[in-house]
Amino acid sequence: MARRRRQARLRALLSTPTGVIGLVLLAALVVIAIIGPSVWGDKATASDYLHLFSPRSGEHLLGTDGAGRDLFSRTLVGTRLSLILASGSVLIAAVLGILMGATVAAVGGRTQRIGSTIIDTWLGFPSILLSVLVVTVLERGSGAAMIAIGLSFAPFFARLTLTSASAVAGRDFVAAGRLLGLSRFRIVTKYILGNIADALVVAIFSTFGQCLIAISALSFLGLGVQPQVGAQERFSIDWGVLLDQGVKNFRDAPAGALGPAFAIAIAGLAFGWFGDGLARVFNPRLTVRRRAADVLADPTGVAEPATVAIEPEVEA
Amino acid sequence: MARWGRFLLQRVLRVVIVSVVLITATFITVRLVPGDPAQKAIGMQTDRSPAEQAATLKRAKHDLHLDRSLPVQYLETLGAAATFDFGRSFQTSQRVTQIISDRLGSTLRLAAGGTIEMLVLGVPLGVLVGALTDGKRRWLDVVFSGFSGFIGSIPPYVLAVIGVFFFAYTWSIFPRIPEGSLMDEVLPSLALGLGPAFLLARVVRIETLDVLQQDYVRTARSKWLPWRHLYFRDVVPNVLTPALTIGGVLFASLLGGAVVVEGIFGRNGLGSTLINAVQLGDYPVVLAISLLFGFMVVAANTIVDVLLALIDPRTLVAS
Repeated sequence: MARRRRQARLRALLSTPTGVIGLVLLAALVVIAIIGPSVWGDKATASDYLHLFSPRSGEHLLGTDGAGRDLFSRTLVGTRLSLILASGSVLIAAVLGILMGATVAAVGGRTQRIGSTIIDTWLGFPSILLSVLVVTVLERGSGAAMIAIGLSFAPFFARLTLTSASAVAGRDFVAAGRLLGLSRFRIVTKYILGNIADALVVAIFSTFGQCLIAISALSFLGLGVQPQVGAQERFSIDWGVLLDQGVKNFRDAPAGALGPAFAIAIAGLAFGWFGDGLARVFNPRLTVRRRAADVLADPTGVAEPATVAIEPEVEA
Repeated sequence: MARWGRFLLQRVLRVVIVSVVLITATFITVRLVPGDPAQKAIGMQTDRSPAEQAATLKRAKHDLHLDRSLPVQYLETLGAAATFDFGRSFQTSQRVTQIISDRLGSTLRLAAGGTIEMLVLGVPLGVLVGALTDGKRRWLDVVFSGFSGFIGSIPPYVLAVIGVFFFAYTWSIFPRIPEGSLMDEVLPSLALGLGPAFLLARVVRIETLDVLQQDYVRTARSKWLPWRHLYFRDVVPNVLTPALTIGGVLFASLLGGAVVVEGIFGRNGLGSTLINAVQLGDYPVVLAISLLFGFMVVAANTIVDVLLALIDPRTLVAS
């Protein structure tokens, strides 16, 4: 039974071309992230003063930079740190946001309305500003950038948790739990979180790409990853840093910025498509057509699963 | 009229409340920054004797009002924000107001260009695709959804890099650094506005389909009214309401995007000034620019609200 269900879910994920491409790209990215620094690390960090700013060629797909380092290899090596930082910030955002949302959902009453307003205000705050302020306080670096992006995406998870929890809260089994004398807290953890877990998992994957884009932007601005030199370099460059270096050398090696630019775009897209596929797995009713109101509330399509998977028990 | 009065009062009140929250947040943030701001303001001064250094530090603290109590400092910050007077930059000793007025134009042009691009491309495209896919051409529906989602998910700074690579370096159509002509604005506004334009087009398309299903459109069609009449009198006004709403939402992200892309186009705007100030710990500048950006977002949302109420008075009742 469980196996059949798993197979059905896999089929749903692979039912659209974007789902398949998303999954394949994602797998490729993870593989590159794991083997990157050891396989291409030398080529990416070793200087070659005979080939400074060499143009694109068979040997150097994107040419070389001002120290003769292969730009394509550097992009591949940057994959690891980019994915790690994005994972870290998604994790911070999800844990913080879900905790907040669940707490606000559990307290109920007037406090809930106040909490809800706070979440909405936070959500409307321009995320780049929030990140810049957080980085100002914590002093720039990859850890600060991760926390900054985590904090800017946390209200999104809080809103999702609160909205989904409110949708579940009206159902009969929650009323039954209340009749049994369970505390609000117990009801939230036992009945509600379990029932919205699917939606949250989908949201985590859909948000991943956006976090990656946001944290790369911080590194690009010099507020995130601070690249080191020497043996540590291959572990301390991410796509944002590479993009920054590429843009600074635009005149001498214009292709240098293209590698990280395309890498960020492709990764963002892969996670987005994979997230869409996952949403379809958990809610087969989800069709291509989305209501205008949904797109409006969430142009990126991440909040879509908010209404999803409230009845995971219903299986044909 | 009384309804309008109450509506405007509500909006103004909201702007004030959000501004106070913003000021409080930045006030706390700036106080949390490690290091003594007075020390940062005067620099290291290693050539002086310790006694002299201490005296200068004390004078700097007094000049910056850092020797007063926190509540007094907070009230002073509120006053500073109300008059938009943030003193002088720690780094250049220029007046913060001067720095901002020098750079604001560049950022506003960028954001305005992106907004215009979003509206001018997004609304007609959405109406057009909506009209073309109204109950037919299923393939176009699929292609448009996929393509707009694809473009919409690429961040502006990546579009900017790709655009500059092809149009400024490979084909030299647009200037690589600003030359002071209108050509400077084309690539940046494309980079900023293209993604939002396609997201907007998606919403407009769905709204268009919705309007085309309405009885009054069927009536108009049955009377063989010319299509110009149908689209300009019936569809476009009805589509404008959601277009404005989402336009307001997208403006905030557009402003954020402007901060990031400025450097790629070699522009010296508020974004690069802000980033620089963060890196140098120059926080009168950080405070002023953050507040200004936050205020711009709130102001944009308020303007959208008022425009919506003007176009569609039903929203007055709803609020």
